[in-house]
Amino acid sequence: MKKLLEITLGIVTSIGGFLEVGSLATSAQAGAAFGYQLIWAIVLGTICLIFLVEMSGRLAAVSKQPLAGAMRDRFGYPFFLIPLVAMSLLGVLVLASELGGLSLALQLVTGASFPWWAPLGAFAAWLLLWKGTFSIIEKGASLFGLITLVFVVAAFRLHPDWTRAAAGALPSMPRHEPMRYWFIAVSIMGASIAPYLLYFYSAGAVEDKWNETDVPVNRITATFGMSFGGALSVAVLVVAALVLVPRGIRIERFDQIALILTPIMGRSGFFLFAAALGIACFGAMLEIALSVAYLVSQGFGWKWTEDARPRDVARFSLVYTATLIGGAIIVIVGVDPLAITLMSMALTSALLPIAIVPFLILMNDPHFVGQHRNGWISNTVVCAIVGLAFVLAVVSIPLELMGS
Amino acid sequence: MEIAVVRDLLDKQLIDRDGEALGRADGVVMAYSADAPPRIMYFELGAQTLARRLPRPFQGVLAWLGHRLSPRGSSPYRLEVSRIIQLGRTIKIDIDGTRSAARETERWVRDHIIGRIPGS
Amino acid sequence: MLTRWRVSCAALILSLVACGGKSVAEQIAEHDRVRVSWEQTTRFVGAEWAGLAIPDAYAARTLQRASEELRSDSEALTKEKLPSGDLARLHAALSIVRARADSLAQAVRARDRDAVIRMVKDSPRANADSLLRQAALR
Repeated sequence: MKKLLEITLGIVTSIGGFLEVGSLATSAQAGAAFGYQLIWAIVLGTICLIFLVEMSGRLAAVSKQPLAGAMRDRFGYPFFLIPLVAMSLLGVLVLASELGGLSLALQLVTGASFPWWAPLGAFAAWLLLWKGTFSIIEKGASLFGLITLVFVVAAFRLHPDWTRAAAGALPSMPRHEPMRYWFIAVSIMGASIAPYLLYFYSAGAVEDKWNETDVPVNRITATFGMSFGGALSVAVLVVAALVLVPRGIRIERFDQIALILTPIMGRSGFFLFAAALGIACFGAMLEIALSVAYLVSQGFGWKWTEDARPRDVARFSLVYTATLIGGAIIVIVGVDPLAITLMSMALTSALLPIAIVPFLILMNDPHFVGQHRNGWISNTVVCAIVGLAFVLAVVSIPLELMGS
Repeated sequence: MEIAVVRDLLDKQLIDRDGEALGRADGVVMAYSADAPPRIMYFELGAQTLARRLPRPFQGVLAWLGHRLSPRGSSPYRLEVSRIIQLGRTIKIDIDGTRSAARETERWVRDHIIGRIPGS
Repeated sequence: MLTRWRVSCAALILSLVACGGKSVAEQIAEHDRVRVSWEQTTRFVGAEWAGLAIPDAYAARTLQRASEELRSDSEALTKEKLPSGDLARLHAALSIVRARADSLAQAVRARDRDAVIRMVKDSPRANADSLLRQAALR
């Protein structure tokens, strides 16, 4: 009975934290521009994420070490500097895009185009990290994050042709604008396979003192939780497709995405969208800031825990503070939020091998995971999907930059 | 029991008597003289040690950063290997972390930055 | 050996650049798509605002944004080497759509619901069925 409760909580936690500005923006863009055709990118990204999240939980449970610490242990310094620097900088960029999404949500709700929404949002996130505990943050973000289920409700209310949608789950060649198609595909995969999630998840598992008995439960929660999360992205895509395609609207700017729920839910739809966007972005900001702090602190062997007072984990607190400030600066400077979002998602895909290849090696090292090594399926699936994302990214990013 | 220096000592997490993090073994120092066999003497911690492990062109920046940011200045911190209590996933050292020099940077950040912000 | 390598690199870069560049037809199509997208966005915003589904501030700002985007598309158009016939047509179409966006924005700011409804009705409507079928959604 207790296990069942644990599993349910784990799944709910995963759903709530899944949707954020990257998956929202990329799924909506995909739906508006290509209908159901890009659902396969969400499916592939989600499958890969399921394997990766399960692996990061298993690593923490068996080796009692979080991912970042295990990477330094196994590969040593200076190699560790490569994922450290790459993932930290990427984290700041992604956090900036989440902050941009949060600012937009506040703007939608209040009507005030207030240039200080960004620093205010960053400060609110910082305050919660400063004062809160890991448990509160994790559960709070997930519970409030359930508001994103509104997209699933909307999708069903639109009565999509589910057989056609299912056809979109199989990869297909674009019928028009091939460069845009592949760029959005790459961005979708980068939005799903977010490395920061892995550092966050494994650190959480260590904080919660998981052990080998938690491995089977972890497998179930990772699979179902991330699957439901992926379903959320698909729901956003379906809604965007059915609302925007018949109107001939493509998403060029963030403002246009706010319209997708109003035809179905009227004025409430507008505010529900803003709330879902704001909450999802806020939760993601907390996770990303913590992720970067975990990465740096664990890599250098400092004390790290969200459950202590900031003065007891001074350098750890300094890192998440600096990360939030860095993200805020990028938004304040005025870079277009949709552009940062799409670019950071595409960049994530391009940099995935840096984070994932060492991770895979760790998961096959008996010194760390004992008999809980990866099976050939995990290795093959992750390698294939990450490889695909990387190749697509390397080809499509320069073309997109040149084309625009 | 066989211990491989790189696999079991280098870059490993060091913890103090109470299980709190001390840092990572950024370097391992051996003593070597003509009349005695080589022995592992110390763990070395600090930005200077890390800087030396980088390829030549990158050493400058990290060493400068370490010198600027570390309250100790240029000298890395050394921990005698004889103080090891336990070797495993982490290495437990017989030391009181709250007063150890290994945590000097942490204390400095606490006193000069984090501690100055209300609510810490 | 080195020369062959240099030649292959140059060929690779050139082919990437060639693929990255769009044909004239593609460029025109892209401009049409962007214009239609913003035209329909303004129609959508007008309709939803008239139906009380979106707040005034958001409606006004989005319409303004549409106008700005159309203007920057016009500017981009002047820099591109397109046949003069197409150029003239695109410029004209962009001005019309931009003017409509501006009038809608004005009406929204003046809270003139009747004017907005009238303007929405008069603006061209996207062919929903054809678009849905093209995108294989139906």
